[in-house]
Amino acid sequence: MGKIGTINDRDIIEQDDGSVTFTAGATLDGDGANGQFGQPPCYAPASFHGPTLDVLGNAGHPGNWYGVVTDTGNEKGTPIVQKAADPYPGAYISATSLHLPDNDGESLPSSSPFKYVDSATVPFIVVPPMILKGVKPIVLGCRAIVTNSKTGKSTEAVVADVGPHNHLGEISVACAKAIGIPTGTTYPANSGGVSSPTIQYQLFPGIPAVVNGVTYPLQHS
Amino acid sequence: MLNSYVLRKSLLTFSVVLCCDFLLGSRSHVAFAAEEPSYTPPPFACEVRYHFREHLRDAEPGEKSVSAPAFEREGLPASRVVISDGLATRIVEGRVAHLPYQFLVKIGPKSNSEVGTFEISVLDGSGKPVTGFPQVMPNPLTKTGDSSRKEFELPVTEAVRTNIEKTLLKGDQFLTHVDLIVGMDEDFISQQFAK
Repeated sequence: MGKIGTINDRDIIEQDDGSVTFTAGATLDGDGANGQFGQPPCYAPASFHGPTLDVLGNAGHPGNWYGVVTDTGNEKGTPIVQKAADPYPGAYISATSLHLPDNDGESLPSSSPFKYVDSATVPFIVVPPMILKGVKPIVLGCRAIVTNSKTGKSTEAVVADVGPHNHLGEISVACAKAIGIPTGTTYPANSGGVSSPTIQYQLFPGIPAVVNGVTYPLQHS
Repeated sequence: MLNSYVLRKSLLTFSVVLCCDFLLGSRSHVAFAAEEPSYTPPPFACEVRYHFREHLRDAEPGEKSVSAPAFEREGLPASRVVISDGLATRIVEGRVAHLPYQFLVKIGPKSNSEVGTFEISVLDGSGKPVTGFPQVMPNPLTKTGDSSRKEFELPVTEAVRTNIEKTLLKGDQFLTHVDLIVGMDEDFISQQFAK
């Protein structure tokens, strides 16, 4: 057993069996939700009439679109809007750090809504770079178990996104719902979450996650 | 004879005391009942969230170059009950360290609408309402479920934004937006804030 590091007074431990554990609160990440499975997307233009998981401010503004996929691939470009053949026409495309392949195992273009993990329907967790760099096996795409000690509810999850270096404890909207964490009225990802350290996280680096029958790829970072 | 007189006088005095106590007691109960509000809005809490992302410097071409969103938070004082004309209103008022605003949030008594009235006022340093405020609406909050929290986006000037990024966030982090979250669920109300 060894300590990988400490964030906000919370120790991140690599256990003897190779798993990584920590206890923290849980903020919510709506990134990656593009309506892949019929649930609301994370972001859409202001003119969009429909629910979104997060407020547009977290996606950016003209000239600086840091939270959605753009036509130039960088923040200065124009956000790509989903077309009629896409899963949620009119919505923007938001990304996760973990990229999914197509059915043949080939990589998808950045403009594909299916390249990213859907926060609305897939329980996933977000980890700081310290964990990615702190263990030898691959962390992105690996199995995780998230438990709410207050409700006793637990769920299988996948490590699908990277958070700020000084923030520990972040999960998808689907993960929050699975373990009984409150979400917001209008924008679930924006006003939901718990700050008290009642959520237990256990990651299994190097072991691909299997969530809802889907096996996720391990991805170097 | 003397003993009998003393006994009668004592009984009379005791009876008068009992009657007075009963009458006064009843009156005080009536008075108390008249001041007791028939409905007191449930407790709620408010916090300001400073949402940010972080540039991921190690990201390679084709990889996501900014982090998932996160936030720093500052809480407003606990709610308290104000009784006026026998009606109870629950309010939260105060300031936070990183915004030049004065907040006042009220949940009023139930009237014709079963849910009561929700009012939110945000004033700037000169006492003028901040753009988008005040707002008045039927109380949107419940103690459980998906409607236990509601957000109100707060505009910030470039100077305030710069100050927040300089004093609250770290090097590669940038502010995306600021909002006030009002919540009524137990998780939200019991949250602790860094001193």
